[in-house]
Amino acid sequence: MAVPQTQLTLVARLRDPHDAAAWQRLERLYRDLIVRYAMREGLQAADAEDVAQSVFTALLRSMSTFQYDPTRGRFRDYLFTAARAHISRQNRFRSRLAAGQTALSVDALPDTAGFGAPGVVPAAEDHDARERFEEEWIDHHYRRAMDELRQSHPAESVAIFERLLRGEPVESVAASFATTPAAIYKRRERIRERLKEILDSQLAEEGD
Amino acid sequence: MTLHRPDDAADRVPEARAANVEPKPHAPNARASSQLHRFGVDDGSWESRAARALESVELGTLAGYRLIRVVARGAQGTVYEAVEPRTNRRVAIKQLRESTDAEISAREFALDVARETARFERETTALAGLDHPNIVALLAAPEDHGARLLVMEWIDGTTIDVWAATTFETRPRREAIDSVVRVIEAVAQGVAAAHARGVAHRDLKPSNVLVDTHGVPKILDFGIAVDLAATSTRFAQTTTFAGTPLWAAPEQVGGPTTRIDARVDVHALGLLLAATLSGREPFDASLGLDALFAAIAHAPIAPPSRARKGVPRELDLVVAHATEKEPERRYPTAAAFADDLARWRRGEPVIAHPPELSYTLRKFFRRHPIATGSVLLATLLLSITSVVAVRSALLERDARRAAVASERVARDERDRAQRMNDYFRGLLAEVRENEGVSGATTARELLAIASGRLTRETLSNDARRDLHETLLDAYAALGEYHAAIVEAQNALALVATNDDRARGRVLAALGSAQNRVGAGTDARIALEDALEAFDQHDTRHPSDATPLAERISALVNLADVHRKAGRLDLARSLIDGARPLVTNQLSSERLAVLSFAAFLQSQSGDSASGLAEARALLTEFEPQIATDPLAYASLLHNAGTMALEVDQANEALGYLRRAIELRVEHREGAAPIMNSRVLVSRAQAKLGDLDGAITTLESLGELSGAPRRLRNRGIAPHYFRRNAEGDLLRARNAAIDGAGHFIGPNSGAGLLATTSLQLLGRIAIEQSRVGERGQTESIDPAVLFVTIEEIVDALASHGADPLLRPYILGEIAASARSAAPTTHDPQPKRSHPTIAAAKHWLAIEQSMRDGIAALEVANRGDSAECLLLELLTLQLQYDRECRDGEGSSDSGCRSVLDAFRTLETRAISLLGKQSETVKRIATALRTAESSHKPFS
Repeated sequence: MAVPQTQLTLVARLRDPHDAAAWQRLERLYRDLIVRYAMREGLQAADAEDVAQSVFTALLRSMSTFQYDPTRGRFRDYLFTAARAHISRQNRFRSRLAAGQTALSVDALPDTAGFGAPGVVPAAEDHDARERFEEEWIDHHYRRAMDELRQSHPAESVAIFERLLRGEPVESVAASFATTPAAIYKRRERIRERLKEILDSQLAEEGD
Repeated sequence: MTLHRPDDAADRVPEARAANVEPKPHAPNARASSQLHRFGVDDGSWESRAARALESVELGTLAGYRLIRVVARGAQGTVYEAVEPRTNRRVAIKQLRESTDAEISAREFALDVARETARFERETTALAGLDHPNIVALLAAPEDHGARLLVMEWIDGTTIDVWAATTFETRPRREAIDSVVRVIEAVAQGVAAAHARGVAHRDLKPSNVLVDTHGVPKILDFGIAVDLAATSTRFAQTTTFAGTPLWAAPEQVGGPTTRIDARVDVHALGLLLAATLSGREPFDASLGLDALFAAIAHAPIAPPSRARKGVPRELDLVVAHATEKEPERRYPTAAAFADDLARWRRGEPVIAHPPELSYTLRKFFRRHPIATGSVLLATLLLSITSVVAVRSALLERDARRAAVASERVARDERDRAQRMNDYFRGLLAEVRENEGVSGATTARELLAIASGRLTRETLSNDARRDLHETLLDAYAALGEYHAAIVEAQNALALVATNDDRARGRVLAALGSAQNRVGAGTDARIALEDALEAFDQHDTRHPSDATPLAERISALVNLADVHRKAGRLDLARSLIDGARPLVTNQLSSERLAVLSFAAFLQSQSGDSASGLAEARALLTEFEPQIATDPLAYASLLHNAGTMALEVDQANEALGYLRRAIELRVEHREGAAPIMNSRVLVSRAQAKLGDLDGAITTLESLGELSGAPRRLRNRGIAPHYFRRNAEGDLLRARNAAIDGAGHFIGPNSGAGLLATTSLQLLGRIAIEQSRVGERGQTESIDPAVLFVTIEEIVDALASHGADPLLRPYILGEIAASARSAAPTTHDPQPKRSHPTIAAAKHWLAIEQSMRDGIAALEVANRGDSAECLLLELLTLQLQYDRECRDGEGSSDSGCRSVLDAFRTLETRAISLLGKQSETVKRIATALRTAESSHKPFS
């Protein structure tokens, strides 16, 4: 198992600004979510990377100044709010600057929009945006779980599963692995159990 | 329409809300499991979720657009969510399906590719011409490797039925009904705009109407729209069924009539209203196609009140009227349907209602429980008219049935018209008499009743024109200029070809109203035509010459049009031409001409001598106040304006208060009184009496005649209260909301709108300060810009004149620039990364350039307003290019200074050296030159 059940939630660990490992892990685990969500909201890859950068910078700063209290809300709500704020700014300026204006570095965006001063940005709890974020969040955890699965589960089972995911009928998968459909169903069920376990621990680590 | 602010949005989503208040920390695992169900691991969806997660984010591109995901795949094709790379704007792309031959033959109701393509082209054509806030905008129609694409604006929203259901779940019923009616009204306005271009939708249904997160409906899918002129055939017979049967009109499924026209959409609007109010579909689709067609053709639509308690009977009637089986009996247009909903919202009787006397009276009494005197009188008048109406209805029937001599009918009709006309005039006079100015509300409501009645009457053209003119005068007096324009156009259409006198009179009134709403070019044409008609009339009928007052009024109005467009020389020469006409020393006409001449002088930049002239006129005409008190009041008002301009606030206050007194005493319409009050509040503010200014602004709400409901949430009180509490976000929302209410296309309360814009400007600035609270008191242009955009968006969605945009931007940017640290601030604040600030200013600059371009397109490129915008743009450019503040050889900076000088020269030639605008430009130029000295 990748994550011991007893481990402190990652976010709780973040309260110690010196826990560099926690920071690295957080960024490794969630940067992709922010980037993908930002792209989902229409940003180009480079801009989306910049948004993720701003989000984590803001988070780091607000944690180190104790502006962010993890007990007061879910981590992903914070991520959503911060990402949303940076994306909406990014979008507005992009569209304004579209007509041949020199594009300036995104890094220069003011950082007030993060955890410290939510009031600056309209409390854009836009339902649709949140829904999109939630979808990305679920996808994100599935992707992580699949990565984990590939490393910790019999390769053949994973291969079978991936072919099922591509829409191949059970019968044909069974045929190419020289086994019965019932056996395929069994492996599939084991994978479901395993994925559930992994997702559970991922969520636990997220503190959610 | 109601703006659903983002923070309201959460209320409409119970789940999201529940998630947010989830209980506090307990064992991580327990919380985690509570979330696991979202991953579908215990139901059948886990595999598809996993598959989706593993799909790539990017689907590639189509015609240069980056695809993000598939929104829907249907028979027609695929709809993608995509991004336009250049602007990063989110768009919806509809790709026509490439059907295979096999598929075509396989589908029972298959559309062949050619037809599909034709449909696609129709959609393109229909959408391309439409630019309306309630119609999804078509941005482009490119091709990609032979595939035809429609690129449309992206709408974040839900379909209208889902939106309505949520609204009813989360709002008090009365409020929900109100919102639904508002939204359907907006949909109808969108449809009306399409009809005005000769395009019917023909497939309106809930899935084709999205309501965005601001509560603004957007009509989608003009796919089967056809040119109204081009078709009169039945869907079911000519094509595979193109409409969705459930939402089709009887004539689309072989009902009694086969003519298909715009009233198909009126029917669908009725169904939409019924469905959103009742939460039910109009018919039971499970009956099977034949039964469904029969029901559509013959079964009346169930009144929404049957499904949902509390839906008022009037709305049942609107639904019934819109969904009449015979198109001829429906509302004639989508606009008429929208108007009736608007009437309902204002608490006025709807046209759809059968004209029962008791109903009208009940409405009237409900709204006027106190003003007994006028109610009694009005009751009397109403009953007389009702009698007249009933009798004329009988007469009509007789006329038709027995072919009664047409002469007698004509005579009766004239009499009736005369009586109705007298009735309107009498009613207005009485209302003013009894309730003073605040009776504006009443008068407006009565007018709407009168208009409604007029559409039902069968009258001769002359009689009808006369009544439209009466309404026109009345609306103008109330400041309902948009309604006045409509009445004027109605009247104009009815003017007999040889009646130059009437044409001139109506055109003059039309031009004057158009001038008031800022439609300068239209106003100019109307007024010039009016003067020409007067001349023609006077040539033909020298003994019956046009009254001088009418001619002078047209001339002064025309001069005012030129003044507003910055053509001061033309304005001046018109007024000079009018002087010889006004020989009668103390006549109202002479007063009007001279008073305007003085005002013109102040507009040319010489406020001081304009004011001096006005003072002299005030003394000269004082003995004549009694002859024409309202003309004198107008002079007082102008004098007040000029006094304000030269900072004589005390003097201005005196004039304005006297003007208001006279106007109230002599029952001037609400609009001029509001005008004076706005100036009073400015004078008070200048004198430091902020409380007084607020009180004055608040009284505007009363005067505007806005229904009490709106008044209570009126902009000024709400704004100031929230502002005082430091709740700037709410204050801003209140102001945007308030402005929206007053800027709607049917609102005449333009002054309130202006006032709220000014408030919005202040909010923008103050809000930006709050973001920095505790750090610095300076403005973060980022926040400012976001706020400006929000305001502009909100106004646009309320149908505000797009030309307001540059003014708003100009006003806000000017105050912001004077208050904010500019990009060349030698010591930028820690929280203001210089580059970021520059970026935002660039964006503002771009918006202002757009504004200038818009003004130029509107032929207002030479106006003082436009010059000011150009000045402001140059100043921003200067901030950017000359940021060192030291001498440099920077050519960019040098060219900015050159542009400054060119602007100054141009402004002088357009406005004259004394103009305030020119002075401002000159001051700005000197400042720029002194702080930046290029090598020379």
